Amino acid sequence: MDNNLFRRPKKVEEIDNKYGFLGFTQNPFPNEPAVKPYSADSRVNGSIFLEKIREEEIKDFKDHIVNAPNKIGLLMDYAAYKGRGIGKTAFLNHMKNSINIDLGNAISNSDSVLYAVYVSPSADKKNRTLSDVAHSIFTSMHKEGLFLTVFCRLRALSGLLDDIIDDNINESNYEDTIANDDWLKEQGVDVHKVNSFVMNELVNAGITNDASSLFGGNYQSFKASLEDNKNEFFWKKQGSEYLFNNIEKLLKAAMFTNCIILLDEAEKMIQYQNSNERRALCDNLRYYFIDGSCSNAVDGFFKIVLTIHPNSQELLMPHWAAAGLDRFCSLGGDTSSENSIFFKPMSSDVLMINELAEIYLKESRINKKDNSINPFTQEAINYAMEKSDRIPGRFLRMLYLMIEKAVQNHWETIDKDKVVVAWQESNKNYSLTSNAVDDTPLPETKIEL
Amino acid sequence: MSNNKQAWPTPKLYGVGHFIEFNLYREALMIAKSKGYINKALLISEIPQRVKGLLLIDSISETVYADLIRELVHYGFIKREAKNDLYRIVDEGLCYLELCYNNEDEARDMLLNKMQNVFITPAWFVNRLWELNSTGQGQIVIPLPLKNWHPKLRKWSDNSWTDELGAVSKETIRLVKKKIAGSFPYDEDEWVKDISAEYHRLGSQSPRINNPEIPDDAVNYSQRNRLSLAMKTIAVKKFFSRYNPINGEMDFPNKRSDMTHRSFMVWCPRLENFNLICYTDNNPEVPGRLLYPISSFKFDCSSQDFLLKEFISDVNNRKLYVHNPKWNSVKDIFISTLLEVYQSYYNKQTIIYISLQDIRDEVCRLLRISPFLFEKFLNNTYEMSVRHEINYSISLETDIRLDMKVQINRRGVYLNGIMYSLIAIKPL
Repeated sequence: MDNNLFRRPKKVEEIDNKYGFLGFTQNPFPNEPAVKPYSADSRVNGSIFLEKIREEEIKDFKDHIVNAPNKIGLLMDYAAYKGRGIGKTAFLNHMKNSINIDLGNAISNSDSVLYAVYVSPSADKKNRTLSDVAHSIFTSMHKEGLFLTVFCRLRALSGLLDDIIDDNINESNYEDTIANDDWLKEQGVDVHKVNSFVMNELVNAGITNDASSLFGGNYQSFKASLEDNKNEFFWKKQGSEYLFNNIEKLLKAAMFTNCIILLDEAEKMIQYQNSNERRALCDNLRYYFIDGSCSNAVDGFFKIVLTIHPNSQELLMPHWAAAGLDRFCSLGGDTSSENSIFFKPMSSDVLMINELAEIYLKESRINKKDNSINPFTQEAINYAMEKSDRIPGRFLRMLYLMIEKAVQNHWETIDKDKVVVAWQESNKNYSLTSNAVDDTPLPETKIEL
Repeated sequence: MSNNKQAWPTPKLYGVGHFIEFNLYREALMIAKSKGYINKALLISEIPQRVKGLLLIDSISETVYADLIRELVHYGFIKREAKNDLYRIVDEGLCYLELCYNNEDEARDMLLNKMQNVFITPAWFVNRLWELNSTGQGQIVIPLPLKNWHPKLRKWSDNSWTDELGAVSKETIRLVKKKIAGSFPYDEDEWVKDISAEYHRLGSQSPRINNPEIPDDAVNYSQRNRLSLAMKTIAVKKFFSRYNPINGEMDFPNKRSDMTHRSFMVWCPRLENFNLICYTDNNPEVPGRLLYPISSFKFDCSSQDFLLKEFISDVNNRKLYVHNPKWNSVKDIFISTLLEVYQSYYNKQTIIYISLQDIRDEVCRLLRISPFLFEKFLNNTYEMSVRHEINYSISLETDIRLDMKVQINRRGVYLNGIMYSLIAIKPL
């Protein structure tokens, strides 16, 4: 079986678990302290999240974004320039997931039906305008399966399926049940009636013109009419209009109250924009979200949360003010707390720090009942937190390294001294950037003159 | 040295012209030869177009032309006509001009001889370096504030000396003293006292601004810049005034104005061009200007590695010998030093391509060779690596890393006429 055509990679479980002696199935901490929202690995996809750390921010999110009339909100980084890894992306993804799991039932106290989309622009040139962002939002919606939910909600809202929808039907089986014409027929539903109801809503939203199409109301054609194969030119020309007018109408027809756009790393866009593009972004934000003629501005359906760095705040400020946006959402100053979520470094509460470590440790423990911080000692955890400047991303990375070292050296426990040594080693290479001045003498001149 | 009762001869000229490019002498003499005369007006109209391509001359002020003519007169290259403001070239000048085209080394020697006679500075400067740090072979540092100190701007009127400034001044020289033993023979308390006085003096002048309508108290200043200027001024004054801080005597008992920081900045490159000293402002570990002699005064020297400059001697009549080793005698130590320095910089920066200028400066310091020799030896080493005579591959590149932008005015490293700025060395 050594033929190259047959050779396959070993499955992870088949490789000897070198973390076993510490009581883990794997290294509990992410080796790359960055959030990859679509990864299957729970350590990096943001699903391990300690709400307690961000209680204040979550409250702000509820009060200033979800349950407030604000259409534009800001997430600002209090740690300012201190470094990455404070957990903004993890926070946004966590909020997105907690909204989407029950369509905002809990977070809005059952008042509204909500949906959240997470977008993160790249630094490419193609991510410089609002219509580019609109395209990214639309792509994310597809990826998240929003349109299947919309379709099923439309069918359900037709009032013809009331008898057959029960608790057994949920997101995971939509495609085989509600969205499946044959299944509906088996249940004795008049599929044609349902379809024409859905079709009607599509026409009202302006997604399609042809109300009489025979199969217009089934899921395949619904999907096709929303297929994300529109070209760049379409998005440049009509992207914003399409999303904030047509799609908005469709989502409204499916009885969503609001859709919250979580725009991460807005500075990546803003920093590379020229002055005209910045101005256009601000003007467009105002047009499409506040007082333009599209239906989103009228209904206030979409809300957008921009993650802003202090630096891009300065860049954006003059344009923001020129577009008159500061009256609706101020970028700084006294009223900014009304629409901003301020992101702070972690507190020094020992219990909280332990819990953050525990939640990761527990996820990979063989014995799931173990709630301790073993193999770490309390001093080790505290020291690691202190040396990571209270930034969770750096903290987790450090614990990752410590576990790796423990495996290499067969340490049963990891105490402060070991962390001290490791920290010094990992920082040796960065002496140019750290504040400590290297004062070892230069080598002596080799030649006697 | 303390029993030395003899003093240096009195200079014929005190103020040095604020230019460092020796080509200016040659060009001025060329004009004098072809036009029959020179004067300031003619030089102003002729010189700029002739030296356009030279990087080191960005702008030449009118005073420089006056200084240039004055120096040429003192060197005996030109003579002023009795009645008018015209200078004509004389035999000595013609001789120098001819050497410039036929034998650069001799031309340089001739110029050094003239400069020595007129200013006395070249020999005195080298000797002073040796006196200041006799154990460290003349290595001296004119410090600048620690590199990682970036204070806030302050109002011009706020001229107070803060604890922070004092701490930075102290920390800076402690670091310098640790980095190179003996490179800063200055008492710590005295230093802080002198610096604070100079800092005050600089702040009590009115700010130099173009718009007179801006009131003085609306002007901000950079604490770092002011402290830097104070440090340079004070250190140069201490180390290079006629009062010898080591033996407490006057090197020039008669009159001779002290060397200002500005003159110091002219003399460093001039003496480097003569291969008497080397200096660098960019040592990654030492804040400030590190300078050291690559020549020394000896009664006698039989080594082939030294070049005798017979026309230069110190007050004890010792002759000046310039370190000028032959490739064969330094080959091994040169290659091993190059590798060591590269490796130690690589270990600190963990970047494969290291600034060649940084490497050059450090190798020159360790081996006490001139940048010219470094280029020659590097070229030899490079060729050896191409022929696989050493087990290393050397790669030289011309590029500017982002963090090196500021170094564009620094002397480049040229191999066969091409400037290189980065080097990577890997074992084969």
